Parts: sequence; structure tokens; C-alpha cells
Amino acid sequence: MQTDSQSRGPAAVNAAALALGTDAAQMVLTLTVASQLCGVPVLAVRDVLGPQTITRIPLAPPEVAGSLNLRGRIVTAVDLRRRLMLAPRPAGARPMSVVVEHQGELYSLLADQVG
Amino acid sequence: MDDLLADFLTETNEGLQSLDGALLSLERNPHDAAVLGEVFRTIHTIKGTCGFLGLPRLEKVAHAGENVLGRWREGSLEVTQVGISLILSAVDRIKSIVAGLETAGAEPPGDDSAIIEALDAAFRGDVAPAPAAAAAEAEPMEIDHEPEAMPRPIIAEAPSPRPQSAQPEHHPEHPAPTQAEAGPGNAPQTIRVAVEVLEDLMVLVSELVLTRNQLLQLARSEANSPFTVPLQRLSQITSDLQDGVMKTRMQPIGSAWQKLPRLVRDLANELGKKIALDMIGAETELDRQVMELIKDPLTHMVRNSADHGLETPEHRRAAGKPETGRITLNAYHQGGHIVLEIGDDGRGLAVDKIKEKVLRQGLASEAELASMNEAEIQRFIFRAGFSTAAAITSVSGRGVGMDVVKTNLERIGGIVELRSREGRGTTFTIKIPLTLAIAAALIVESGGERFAIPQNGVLELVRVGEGDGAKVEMIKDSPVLRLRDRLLPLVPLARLLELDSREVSEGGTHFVVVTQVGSQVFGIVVDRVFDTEEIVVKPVAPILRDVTMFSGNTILGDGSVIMILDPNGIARATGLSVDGGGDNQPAQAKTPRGPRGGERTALLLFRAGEGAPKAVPLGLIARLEDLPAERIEYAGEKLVVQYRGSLMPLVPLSGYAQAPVPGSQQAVLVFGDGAHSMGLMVDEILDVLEAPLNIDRGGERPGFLGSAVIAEKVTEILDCAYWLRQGGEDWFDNAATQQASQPRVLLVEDSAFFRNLVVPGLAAAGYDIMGVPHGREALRLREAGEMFDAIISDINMPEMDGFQLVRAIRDGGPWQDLPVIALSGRAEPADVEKGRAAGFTDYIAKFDRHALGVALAQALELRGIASPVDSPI
Repeated sequence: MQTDSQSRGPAAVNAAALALGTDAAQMVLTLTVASQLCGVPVLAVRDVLGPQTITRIPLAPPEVAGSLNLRGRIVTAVDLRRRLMLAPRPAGARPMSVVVEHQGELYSLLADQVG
Repeated sequence: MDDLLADFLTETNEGLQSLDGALLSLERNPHDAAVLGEVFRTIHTIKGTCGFLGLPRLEKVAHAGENVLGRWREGSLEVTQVGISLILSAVDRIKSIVAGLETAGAEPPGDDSAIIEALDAAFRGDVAPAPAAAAAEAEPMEIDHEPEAMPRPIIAEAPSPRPQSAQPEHHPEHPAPTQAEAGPGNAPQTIRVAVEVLEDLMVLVSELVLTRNQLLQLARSEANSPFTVPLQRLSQITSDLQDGVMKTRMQPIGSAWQKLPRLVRDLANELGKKIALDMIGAETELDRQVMELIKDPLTHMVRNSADHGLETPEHRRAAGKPETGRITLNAYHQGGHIVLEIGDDGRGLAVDKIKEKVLRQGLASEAELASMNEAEIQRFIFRAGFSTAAAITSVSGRGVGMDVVKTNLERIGGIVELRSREGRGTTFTIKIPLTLAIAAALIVESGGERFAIPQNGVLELVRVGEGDGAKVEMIKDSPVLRLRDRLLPLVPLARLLELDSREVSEGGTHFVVVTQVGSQVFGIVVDRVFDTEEIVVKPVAPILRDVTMFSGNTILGDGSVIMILDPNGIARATGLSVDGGGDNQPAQAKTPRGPRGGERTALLLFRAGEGAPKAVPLGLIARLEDLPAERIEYAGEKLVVQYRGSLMPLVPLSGYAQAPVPGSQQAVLVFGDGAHSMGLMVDEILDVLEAPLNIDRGGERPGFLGSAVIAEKVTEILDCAYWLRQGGEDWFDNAATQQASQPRVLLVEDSAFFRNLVVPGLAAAGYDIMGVPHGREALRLREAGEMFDAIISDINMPEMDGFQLVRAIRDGGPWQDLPVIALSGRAEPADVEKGRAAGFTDYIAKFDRHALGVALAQALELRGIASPVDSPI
């Protein structure tokens, strides 16, 4: 499931974002959040991970679910359900992580399903 | 100077090594301007530095060489093979002198006139290219160092009867080619490495340490693993590697001090002061990153010392000090920290000025100030926007000062302390960790989550809860811990971080992490304490920067992410930090009120002699002191102590004037209002708390107004007036009797001390008394519909004095007919007359409690109100 975008920097991501809708080569990774289908420009995606151990961060904004360890790098997890103001995740359900890079920082987008 | 010389040698050797090659390439391509420029620059740099370092021989040779190169560069002289040889021989001479410098630390003696003459001749251009034949007679001296047997006709041409003179004595035994020799014999073997390379290495090592920790953790869970032994070896090597890489980042602090002598010199000129700068411990090493971060605060503090700290020569002479002020920098290692002291022998911090400014800016109330000791008051200079300089100079005093310094230092885990004595100088002590890259941290759990607390701020761990051990007590709603007679404020971490957890008071075992931030000690309450671990602090994601409670995050040995708590942030968030950056807590305008007001009064609880604990309104106390027994002396029958330049009588509460055992400390409550002061010796200071002061007159005895229930304990309330009189100052007549009814009296008085003296006294006498600090406040009460039976007012007050106030009262309104009694430092007949003319009912001298009581009783009687006392108060 790993995408091969490790060598691409944020510039590539931005270029991809600019090209959105104009270029036929625009690829998106689809994911489902509370049965809402979303897409993430595939060039921004660094990793897709199964359920992870996430450390809570007290006092953080509500949409920040916590942080996780991605091969030695600390990634901030954003709960897409809360960020997009969708229904909260049912108890016991374990979300997938779509790791994206934004301005040099890694973020993990928590989605119910990927692909 | 030695450091400079060493740097120079390293640099020069580097330059010289490339010079031979460059000259040879120039010989092949005489028109290569780039190479020529490089050669010129190298020689020019050497010449310049020599002049600076005072190396005349080197300088002359380099200068002559530079002249020739200069003409070549201009194109006014042709680059010839002969010329190149000449320059090469000059370079060799430079090398031999440099070699001498390295061994002896000084230029070797020798004569360079021949080579200089030859160079000068070439410079003038009047030397014809020498016949090649001369090349054969190569200079014996030069030839040793020549990488190739170059023709050197010019030298040969100059009559050279001096093979021995210029020959450095130690050189003949080195026939080896120069290249090998230019690598200096005992100069420090250094290479230049780009800083990024070191930074990258450091990051890699940090990661390696983390991975090692992870492996160790895995191995620990598996008994008899075959990996154990190699893993231990790996662990050891990793630690060594970490130390090694850490060392590459270490630099002597002297390099951060380099600019200071010049700065101080310029400041001295600008300010018209004489300043000497002493630097001790310049070789003390610390991490490059830390050094970069402290450079600016350091410069700022030295600047402050020069500008604010030191006096002008005239002032110093007048104070009996040498004209030249001294700024001392001292650096040394202490544990895993570097300690830096910046001291001056100047005027010190003027506590009174600071107080004034604190009041003016509303950073604290007078009562709060009174309960602070000198050091606490001095720490106000670390508050945002605080500068004591009366005039703003171009140098400093713009109020963006010490608070920034403090914040910057705290950001890197450092602390600043301050020691100052008025007239004797000020010393700032900075303590910073040697490195920021890797820190030891304590792993704790609270509300089911784990957190790391950097260990350098942790003083101790205390287990609290059931059993015989320490217990958490509650003062009002705040938990505290009594630890070795010290009251520690507690911060329950779960509550602070809004984690769901049981309240601390609800039993169960907890741990208190006793933490120090600056001079503030407090306890962080956690559920569990695990272990210490070495962590690499990583910054938190940008969206979390607003959460000031964390200084970063890290990955633990087991691979999980953990947040690192920032004790500074915690102290600030809970308002514990005495000098928190800028967020000054609202200084409550404390209006002392009588007992019936039901308001809380700040009380100091202490133990003295037998019986119940004693209490005194905090506002009455100027300071609390812990005096060493040795300072207490007998003067006749009485005990005295030298205190702030005068003798202060000490009165024992127990009644027996007995000096404490030598070596012990005596707790003293200091009362005073400027000119007078008196110390009350007590056994132990227990607490400061706010409580309603409902005095029960039952327990009345000399020296005590009665008793009150404070913190659920019967406590005797001190009659300050009684004890002040014991101190020898017959300020008052003392009497206190009781009465049932309570006329309401308003006291308008700007001096908090006096207000606090009169209010409890009159309150104890049965008046319902309210004190306000100035006339406007009083009139505000009138507008608010408050009614009193009498008003007592001071005369000299800022904004609206007593006369203006009484006129405003008499002008109409509900207070028009109230008796208004004036209190004044002066009660001459003329003053009394003036007072009555203005509308005062009576005019009483301050401190005349007897007269005040009588006047109050009379005034009330006239209005048909029974005075609560038939005898004077």
C-alpha cells in the first residue's frame, strides 16, 4: 500500500494541488470518513498505515487525536471525522492512518477506510 | 592571546599549504587572475593578522611579498618565473618563522633584510630578470624547504654572507620536503568541518541512542537472550559515540566573550565611566547550540551592568569605592550544567525604587510587597516591561530587558538568579544545561497517560497517600504538601491537563514530583512514576505550539510517543511563577475591613512560646527574616540586631530576652514604617493564609487582642501596638476594651502601614471600621450609598488631600454632617485652626491613639451615638 512518493518534497505536492482538475494525470487516494468519500492527492501521501497506537495530547485542539511514531518520526494524527464535523467514530472502531506531508511536517489523517 | 595565536597558526598553516601549489600553477599560467588573487589574499591576510598580533618579522616579509603580488595583480609588472621563485622563498621564510612560532610561542630571532630587499627591488621593477646561471647557486638556507630546486637568482645576487643568520636554529635537522612540515609539529591538530555535518551527526547519534534504548527494552523482557551481551557492547559504544559527538559540539565559552571587551570599552566611553572587565573561566566548554542561544542575553546583561549597575567615577569616589568599576564574568561547570556569573561592584538594586515602580505599575499591592523579602522584590526586574533606570539611555533602559533574558534562558532549560546588595553590586547567576540534545527525563503517569518530566528541574519525589507518610492537605481549594516544615503548592497534573481523574484529595496513593522553576518550588501530583530515560527532545507540531505545557515530544524505548512536560509552562499556567512573563495577576486592591465586614484578611500564622498558634495581619509586617544567631547581640538587657544600617530592637514574644543558640536561625517578624523598625522573635513561621478575622475577646491578655478561629484552630491575634511599645518606641498608648455596639467608621489613609495599624486596633475596640487608600475612593463609597458614623482622614495624601476631601464632604450629600477627624503628622495650633476652618471636626496628631479614641468618642457622642469605648482605645 505504500506509495512511492518518498523523494517528492512539498513543492511537488503543491504543484500537484495546483494542477488539480486541470491535469489528467492528477491521482487521488480515496478514503472514506463516516461513509463520506474523500480524496487526497496521491503525491502528498507518504504512507498508509493500519490502526496505530496513538498517544493522546492533552489540551490540544479537539480534532488532534494525538501523535504516533512513524519509523522514528513523530506524526500528528488528525481525526477527520471531527475535523470535518461528521458523526463521531463508533466505539471500538480503529481507524486507518493516511500519512501526508504538509509544509515539511507529517500528519496522519484518520479515516475509516482507504481505497 | 594564546587562543588567538593558536587560531592564527591554524589558519596560516592552512593558507600556506595551498600557497605553494597556487604559486606553481601561477608559474604555469602567469595570467590566471583568479589564482593570483588567491595568493594575494592569503599573503595579505597573514600580513594583516601579524600586525594585529604584533609579529613584526612575519609582517615585514609578508608585506614585501604582498607589494610584489600587488603589482602583478595590477598588471604593472610581469609575472616571471624569477618573481615566482622570489615569492616562494618569501613563503618559505614565512613558514620557517611560523614553525618557530609554534614551538617557541614567539617569533624566532633572525634577519630577513636580504629577502625583503630582494622583494622591494622586484617591487620597484628595477631588477632585471636574473641570468639563469645564478640559479645554480641556490641559497643553502632556502633550498632545504624548497619542494623543487627552483632557480633563485635574485637572492643569490644579493651578497649573502649570512647562511647562519636567518637560519632558524631548529630547522637544519629537517631536510624533509616542506609539505610534510607545514603540517605543524605540535600545533593543535584540527580540521574544519561544516557545522551542518556536526548537526547531522548529532541527530543521527540521537536516533541511535533512541534505537539502542528500544533494543535494551526488548532485551530486558527476554531472559537469557543471546543478544544480551552484544547488545551491552553496542550500548557502551553508543554511549561513547554520543560523548564523542557531543565533544565535537563543545566550544570554550571564551569565544562568546570575545566581543565583550570592545563592547565594554565603547560603553565606558559613551557613558563616561571607568570600567574594567574580568573574565574568568573562558576555557569552560559548552554546547555550540547553547552558546549561540546565550550570546545575546549575555551581551545584554553585560550592557546592563555597565549602564545600570556601575556608577560614574564621581559617584564611586563619593561612595568610597575605586573609580574604576569592575564587571566580572565567571564560568564554571557544575554537574551537568554550566554556571555563568555576571557581576558588577556597582550600586546594586535599589529596593525602594523597585517597590515604587511595582506599585505604580500595579504589579503588586503594598501589602503584598510588605510580605516579600528583598530578594523577592528584586526579582521584579524580571517582569515584562520593567526597568529601573530613571532615564532611558541609548544603551539600555527601554524595558525590553531582563524579562526577555529570563524567558530566553528558560526556554533552553536555564535559570537566572540574582544577588544584589545596595551599594555593593549585583551578580546574576545563570545555570544552563551543557547540552540540549539529549536529556534525562522522568517518566510519569497521570490520568492514564504517560508524560516525561525533564530531570534537571526535579528536586525529589515524595509518595503521598494513605499510611503514615506525607499527606496532601487542602488550604481553601488548593492542595498543599507540608514537606520538612515547608508548604509546597501542589499542581495536580490530571486536573491541569484536563484528564479525567479522581481528585487528589480523594485518597489513594499519588506521587509528588517536587520541581523547581527559578526560585519557586512546587509539586506536580502524578499517579505513578516509572523510570528515568534518556530522551531526545523533538519540537511539537506547529498546530500544538499554543499548548505551553509541553516543551516537546519524544519517542520512548518501547516505541511510543510521549509528551514532554515543561515545568516553566506549568508554573506559569498555574500562576505560581513569581515573575511570570507579563501575565501579571490582577493585584487585588486590598481594602482592609473590620471584623464585621466578613472580608478575608491575609494573616501570618506563627508559633511562639506556649499555647495556641498566633496570628498577625500580614499587612502589618514589613518583612520576615531568618537571622543567624550570631548576628543577634545584647545591648544592655535588650537584644538588638544590625539591620539595614541601623540597630533594630528585637522583642521576644515569650517574654524572656534570650539570644538563640549560636549556629541556629531566629525567625523574626519585622515591623516598621521607614524610620522605626522593630523585630519580634518567634519560634517558627507556620503559614500565610486569608481568613475572616472575627476576634473573640475572650482570650484577651496583654499583647493579644483576643483569639480567632483560623484554619479550624484557635489562634491568638497579636496586638501589634503592644509589641511595638515593647520595642522601645512609645508610639501608642495601649488599651483595648470591649463594647457591644459598633459605630461604622471610615478611615482614609494612604499609608498601608498606618492603615493596617489603625484598622485592627479600632476594630478590636469595637468599631466597624473600613480603610480606603485615598479620598477619591472615599467619595466613591459615598456615591455607592455607603453610610458611616464618622470619618477619619489623613491630611497628606496623593491626588486628593485631606482638606480637599473634607471640603467635598461638606459641600453636600449624605455625608455632609458627619464628624470628620483629621490625622496629621503635625498638630500645631495653627494646623488645628486651619483644619477646623476647612471643615474638620477635630484634628489629631498621628500615632496619638489616646487622642484619637477620645476625639472619636466625643464626635460620636455629639451625634447621640454611644461610643463603644468609654476609655481611650
